[in-house]
Amino acid sequence: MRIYWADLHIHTCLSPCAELDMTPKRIIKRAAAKGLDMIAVTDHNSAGNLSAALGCAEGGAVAVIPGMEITSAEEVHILALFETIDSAAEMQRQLYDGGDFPPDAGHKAFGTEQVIVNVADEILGFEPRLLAGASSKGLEDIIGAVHALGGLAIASHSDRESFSVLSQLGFFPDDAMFDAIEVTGKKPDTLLPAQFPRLHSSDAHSPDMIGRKKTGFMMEAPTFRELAMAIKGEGGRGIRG
Amino acid sequence: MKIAEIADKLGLEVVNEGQWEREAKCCYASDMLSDVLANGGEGCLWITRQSHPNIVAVAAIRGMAGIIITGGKQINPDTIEKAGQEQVMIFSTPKQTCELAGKLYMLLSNEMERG
Repeated sequence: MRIYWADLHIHTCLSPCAELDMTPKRIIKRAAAKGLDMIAVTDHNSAGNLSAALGCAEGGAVAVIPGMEITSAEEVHILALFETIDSAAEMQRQLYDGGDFPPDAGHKAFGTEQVIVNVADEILGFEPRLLAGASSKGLEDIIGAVHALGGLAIASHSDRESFSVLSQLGFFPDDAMFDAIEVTGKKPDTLLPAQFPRLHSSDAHSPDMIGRKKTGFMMEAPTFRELAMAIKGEGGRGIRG
Repeated sequence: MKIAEIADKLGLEVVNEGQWEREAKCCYASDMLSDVLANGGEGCLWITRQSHPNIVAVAAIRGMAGIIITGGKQINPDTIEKAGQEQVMIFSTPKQTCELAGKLYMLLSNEMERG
């Protein structure tokens, strides 16, 4: 076992607020240059660039965990990490089939295209759904759906001024079923329940942000299963900084 | 103005029973619970689209007169259960926040302008 450094919150050019040069290929190159062992690709409410990201990572030094940053009905951001692309795609299907994020050109008001690419950074298409919107599912329902798919649910930037548990819900519900919480250090740690493991990640929207914040995990290998054990503190795995 | 009178005038649907006789002195509209925790006034009726169980605790902590959930939303059963425990009145309305806030403000404007 050793410490693997991970940045588990990175957006690609598919996210409406991310820069267009956040292509999977460049993200992975940058992550490797920053000495990261593992990243998670977490676009807003879409799994559309996961296949390119995992394809780019194949055989390389940086492992990629398929993820998604889901916006709940309360407008709380939840990082959902999965073992496989299929599980992430199923999560997306449940959101879209439930009527969330209908196709709508409204995303253009945000000023950037939502770009779907392939492993070679070539444009495959533009996502017409307003990914900056919110699901009709509440926080608990989304956490439940992520867990039913074997995924990990992490409260994104839980202490931030916007789109966080604290901003949207006023205080952190003790009984929330999160596996971990991402912290930015902007508010006193005492506002967050002690039982949740703390993670640090960059929430990168531009290449220079990748790896600015990271978490060290003591584990056997940079895989989803090992990560889940480390977050839960099982089998001698754990979070080490 | 008494809550019962307001509920009647605005055609609010009762989600959780509580202190009908209580006077509402003011109203506050916000969906960010951190904002309501900081600024929600005592004795105010709070208008929101949020229905997460935390709304009950926020209303109770601030001593608010009750919560009106707009947009005809389905309300989380945990929220209703917590409201029962805390004796926080919850109403629901199919009206959107702006319309309801305008009507409620008209009803309470005398009280609110007096401060």
